[in-house]
Amino acid sequence: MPVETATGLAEAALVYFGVGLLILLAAVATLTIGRSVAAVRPRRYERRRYPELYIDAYTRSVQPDPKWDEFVDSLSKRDGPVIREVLDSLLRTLRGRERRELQAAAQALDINEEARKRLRKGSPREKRQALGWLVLLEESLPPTVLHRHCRSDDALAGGARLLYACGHPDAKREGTELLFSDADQTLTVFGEDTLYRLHQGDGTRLVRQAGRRHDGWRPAFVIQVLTVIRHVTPAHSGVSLSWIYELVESPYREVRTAAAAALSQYGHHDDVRSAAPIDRLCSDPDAEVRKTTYETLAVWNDHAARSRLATAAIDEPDDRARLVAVRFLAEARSLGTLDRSTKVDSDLRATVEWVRAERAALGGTT
Amino acid sequence: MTPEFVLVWLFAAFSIFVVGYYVMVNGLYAGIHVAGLFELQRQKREAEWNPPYEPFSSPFLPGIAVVVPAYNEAPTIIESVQALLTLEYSDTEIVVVNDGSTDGTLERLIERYDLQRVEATPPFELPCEPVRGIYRSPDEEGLVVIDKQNGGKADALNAGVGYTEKRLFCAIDADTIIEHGALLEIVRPFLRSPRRTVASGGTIRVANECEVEKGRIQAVDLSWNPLISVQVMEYLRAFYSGRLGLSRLEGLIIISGAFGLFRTDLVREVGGYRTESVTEDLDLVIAIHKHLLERDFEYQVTFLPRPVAWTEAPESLAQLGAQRRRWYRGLVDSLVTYRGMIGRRKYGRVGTFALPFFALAEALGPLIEGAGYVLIPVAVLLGILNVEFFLLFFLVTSGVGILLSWFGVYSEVWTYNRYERPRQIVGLLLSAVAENVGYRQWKTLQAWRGLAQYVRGEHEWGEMTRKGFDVRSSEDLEANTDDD
Repeated sequence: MPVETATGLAEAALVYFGVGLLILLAAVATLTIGRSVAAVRPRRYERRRYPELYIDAYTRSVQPDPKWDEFVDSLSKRDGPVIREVLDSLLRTLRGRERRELQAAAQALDINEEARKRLRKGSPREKRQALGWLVLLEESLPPTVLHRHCRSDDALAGGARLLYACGHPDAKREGTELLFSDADQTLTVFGEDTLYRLHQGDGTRLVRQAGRRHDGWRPAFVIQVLTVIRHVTPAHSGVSLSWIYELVESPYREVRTAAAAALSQYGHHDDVRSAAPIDRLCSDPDAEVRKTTYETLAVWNDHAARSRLATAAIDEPDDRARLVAVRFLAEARSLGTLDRSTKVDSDLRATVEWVRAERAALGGTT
Repeated sequence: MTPEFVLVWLFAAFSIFVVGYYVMVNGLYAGIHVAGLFELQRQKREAEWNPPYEPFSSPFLPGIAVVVPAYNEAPTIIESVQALLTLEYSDTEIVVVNDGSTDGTLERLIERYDLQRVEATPPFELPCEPVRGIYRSPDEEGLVVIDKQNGGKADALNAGVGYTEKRLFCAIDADTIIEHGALLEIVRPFLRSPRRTVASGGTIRVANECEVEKGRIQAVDLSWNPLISVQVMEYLRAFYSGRLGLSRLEGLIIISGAFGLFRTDLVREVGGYRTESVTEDLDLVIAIHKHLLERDFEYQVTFLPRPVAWTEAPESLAQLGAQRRRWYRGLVDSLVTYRGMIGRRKYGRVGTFALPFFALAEALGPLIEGAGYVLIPVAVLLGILNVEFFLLFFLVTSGVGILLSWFGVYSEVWTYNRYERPRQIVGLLLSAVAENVGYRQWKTLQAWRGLAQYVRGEHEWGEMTRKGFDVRSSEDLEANTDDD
């Protein structure tokens, strides 16, 4: 094909492409400017109405008769999303009578019914939003309904949270079942927090259940559950922690670290203090595991633990792990143990000096 | 065969190569932009979900150290630190690293926060230039100032990363203004997938002309200085389309050094920021990918459009040119350093897509375009250029560039709408035209100059003079300091 013909064809193609492009540019510009113009008035309205509705809703919630029906009648259609935002914000911060009144306001707006409907028939995203409202409104639902409609990790955590928020008599068992039934075996931080709230007052059931089921879990999930166990009130004496002791032999250093941390609340359990494989943990090849073990010993904070920490500080080859041990000894006013020791090398001396100087700079005692 | 015939054919071959290259690269850009739009929609929906719990009272909220490298930042440092100390997050530590400043940055900090020197040597190694002192404040327990010899931004960041014990750290620039609730936003991927997420990046926006008071953005405005407004446009496109799209395609290899959140232990594991790199942010993210992909880890690196940090953009052509040449040098350097990853399936989408794309489009693109601008006048002089075809091609390529930029503006209007007034949107659309006709050509020249600097082995960062966001509020703060 001659060069001229090829160029002519290319030119024609460019012209057609250019015309198409021009049309597209005009469309995008029109759409962008149009959308920007259209957004101005609703935004102004919302900015004006939000504080008005916020004050109105809050003021009514503290009055003996809030007259929510009258309030609902005063709202325009455009106020719908704004009042939902207002209620969402207030329900997250208020407690007691005001909160109950605001829940009544949401009921007057049919938000609860809408949420129940969306939980049954909505998309996964709508189900999640619906559960958010149901938790804020403390709208009780039977666990069977939650098991049927909650599938995603957020929905499962939302369902468990609802049982907790409503004080369901079987919230611990059913809520934990929901959280443990996630096919991917992962918890969001919301899920971890929900598991924690469910067992906050007594970790017995969680420790027992995790002990029975952890063999089938992925290491990441084991770590998450151990992290929750670290924060809940310890299980009753007599509940076996042997499965946690066994995890200190895990090939995964993060599992070993989480196992060391999970024991931190058991300082006043003599059986745990004597049976826990602290020596094994203190000699773990990974510094992070040893560091976490020192933190556990610091929480235990009895004479034996402090003495173990002092020994660890002397033997510890890792700078940061040693620093953790020395910091806790300083907090427990036990640095004297090290001062009296003859085994203090230059690294440990530098760590002690640093901890003292740091406390002095912060205005604390040494 | 006459020499003229050979020349014509050579020119024709180059033209065909350029057209082919153009179609391929712009096809890729368009694909990334479309992926970006899908990701934006997903993230917009994700942001609607605010779980019904109190994250600040949860024991599972990860602690964050905000690491602030500061070199001669005296005009803005107090305002920046003050804003950081009041960020909405319950577990933070602010680590300011004074990187050998000579303008009194450290003295201002000592005076304002009554800093006390820790009279001992840190008992652990800080992987950076010698540390001259570490300071703590009895009034602000969460504030740490590390004073060290000058070693550059990467070295300063390494000092902060080496010092902190928080699980995550947020790298920012000293002149960056992080929005009040932005930490809670940028940490969301870590709350959503606590085991998988290793890094997340926020959006950077241009603060010039915005109203700033006590380290907080009070009103957003668009500068009518064309040099600033084209940068605003550039940032919008880069963040809304480029990074979102790459994030969607699991090929995000850059998290801005002005606002990124990372797992501290992981960054230590990869050896911290590479001090030889002049774009340490890009370099670090590629190093993280390499490290984790070689170990078969399941992980995610995410970009989020909602959390915003505001930064001061260069206002002079000289400063902007120096910045862009540095960015180009850094890109080439990282591509050369990690060349072993390019095209290898072992490195997933990063190796098979993101790095080849950056090499072809971001590194080679401006060079090819620049070569074209040199060859065209030569061809005109030799009488072998079809002027009509060239003009048409130039108009079409510019039109496609403008279209891609306008998608960025549309994304802004569709979602977060920080530029609320329609006249600002019109200004942005016009800036997109200027960005593609004039500014883009100037950038190709900077790319060539950057390449020359790289070949010569230049490693300078170049200095940017900060004028500060709001002189009045800085003075107010100074006055408050005196009162104290």
